[in-house]
Amino acid sequence: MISAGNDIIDLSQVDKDKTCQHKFYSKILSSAEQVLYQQTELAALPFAHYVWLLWSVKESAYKFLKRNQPELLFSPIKIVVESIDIYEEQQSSDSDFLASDNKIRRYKGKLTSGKQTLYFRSNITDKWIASFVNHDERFENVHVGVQTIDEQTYLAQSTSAKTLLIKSLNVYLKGAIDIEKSTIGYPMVFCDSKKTDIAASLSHSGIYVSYAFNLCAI
Amino acid sequence: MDRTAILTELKNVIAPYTENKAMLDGINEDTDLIKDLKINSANLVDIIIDAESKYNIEIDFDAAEKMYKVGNCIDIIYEKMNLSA
Repeated sequence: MISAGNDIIDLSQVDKDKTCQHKFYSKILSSAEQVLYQQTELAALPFAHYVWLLWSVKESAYKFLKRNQPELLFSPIKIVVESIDIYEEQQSSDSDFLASDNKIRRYKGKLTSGKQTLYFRSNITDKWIASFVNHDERFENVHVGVQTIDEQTYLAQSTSAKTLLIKSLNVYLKGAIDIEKSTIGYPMVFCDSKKTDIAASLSHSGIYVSYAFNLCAI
Repeated sequence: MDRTAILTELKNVIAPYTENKAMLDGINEDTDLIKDLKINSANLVDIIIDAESKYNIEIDFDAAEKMYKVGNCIDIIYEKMNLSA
């Protein structure tokens, strides 16, 4: 199933004390996921960041799945992160992150939603968390990126995310690219006014916007 | 407390999480928290926690996933309040 799902979180916008309260994180993490945090590989990750990392993974998975399951509702507890590991691969040409954020820690893992198994990759700095989900753990043909914006209104965030996606798609597509929102809510990619099969996903939070797209279709 | 009173109070719970104050004033049971009020989905947990605290109720996971429309929020708060009464 070709789809795309991503999520970004501006960490300056989250209340870390509130996040660490049981009544808050227990709405996002299952008991098993709370135990998963105890593994030594995650020792450098503050608990509040772990909670929001898993939130971003689950939100990404929800967006990935919703494209083909329009009636799906987002229930963080029903999307289960089964494993999480440190991911050492250096930044490659298919990912475009902020040049100034050189201290990016990377994680990867597996998650399930019902009978469906998906894979995630997450990138975290002390300022933001960006996650991406795919059906194939190699993430071939999946292109992702993160950028900052100046204005934080919903309209500015939304417009900037679209502009960033178009700029990134322009490297691979010849023609005038346009993005429209489907009735379900995911971005549809048009090239020279013709709808393409490229699966794309957008996210914004605070001063950050992020995209993911899958080029399997071209 | 009836549904109209819950809706009025719900505006105060939602207010910190939307920049669309004009629309917030005119919300009704069909208003969608994410699509209409442009609330970031990450704030839905905040709204659930704040509602739990305000109404002294506990909203479980299955109920929380339905809280996308104002009317659904009122359904769940109304039901939980009556259970705890």
